Amino acid sequence: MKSLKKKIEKVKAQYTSSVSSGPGTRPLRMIAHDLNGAAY
Amino acid sequence: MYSLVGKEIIDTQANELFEAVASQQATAKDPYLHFLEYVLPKAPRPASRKDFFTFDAATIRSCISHFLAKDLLTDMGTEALNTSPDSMKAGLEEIKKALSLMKELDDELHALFTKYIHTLFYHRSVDSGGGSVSTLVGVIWCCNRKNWSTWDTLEFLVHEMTHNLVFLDEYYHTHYEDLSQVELEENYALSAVLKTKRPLDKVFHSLVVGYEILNLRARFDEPADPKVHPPSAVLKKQCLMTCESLHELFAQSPGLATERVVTLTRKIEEALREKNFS
Repeated sequence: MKSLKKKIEKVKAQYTSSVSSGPGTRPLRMIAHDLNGAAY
Repeated sequence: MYSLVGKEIIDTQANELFEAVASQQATAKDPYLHFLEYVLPKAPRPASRKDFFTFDAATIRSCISHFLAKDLLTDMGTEALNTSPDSMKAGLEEIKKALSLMKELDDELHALFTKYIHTLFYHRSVDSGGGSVSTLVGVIWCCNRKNWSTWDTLEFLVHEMTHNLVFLDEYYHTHYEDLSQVELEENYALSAVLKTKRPLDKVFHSLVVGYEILNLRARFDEPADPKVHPPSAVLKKQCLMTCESLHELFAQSPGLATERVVTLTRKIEEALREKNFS
């Protein structure tokens, strides 16, 4: 459980901590692109 | 992840994740929402799990801001367009039809979806059919199109659910040693869905998504004119090319991905070579 908590904290920090070289967090955005067809 | 590791492992890992942060301070009573509140404190969450379709303008605005946020791992952005309440209603009606089809075909898959996806909203976008983001685990932005069949929409839902399950798997195992290295273009690999060189995280996700879509079709239906993903023969070929590209990357930059990513990539490749998906 202790090591799992450590992994959770690592991933949490990877996505929520500020980084020095960029604008902030690093969300792994997954978006389906280049789709044809009208939206609703 | 459903075909790749199975529902039992997904649930076991999730329960252990929830248990690991159970003593942390958070207001949500539901164990999943409590976990998300702890790991993603800035993300909007529903008050309960009763209704996961949202029309609330403030919630949708807040969710979209996560998709539009600038960051260092995004190689492709998106844009939101004005969306009327009638459009939201019409778009989500199609999502409901696809969810009914999912339940009819595979009750276990539907149970997994309704357990790990807590919010769905419809909003127009320029060139995106929708998406998921690691800072909003459990949320799906739907921008399904009028020319999609119910089966296409079902593939879209399985696609986005897979992203969310991979995010949860990442909390359990960790997937990347150092995201500042993942950002570097020299560490890009070939994506299975978009067929372009993209950051490792997108590529690994695309491989798992491609594998899940191939399995879904193998079990139920090979669409004659698929709108969301390529025909299975093409998708399988692209997935195998992605496996090859990932193996090259793992050899070139051994510290980039964790053992979990390497193992799952190998497992997918073996299954792709063994099974006839087209």
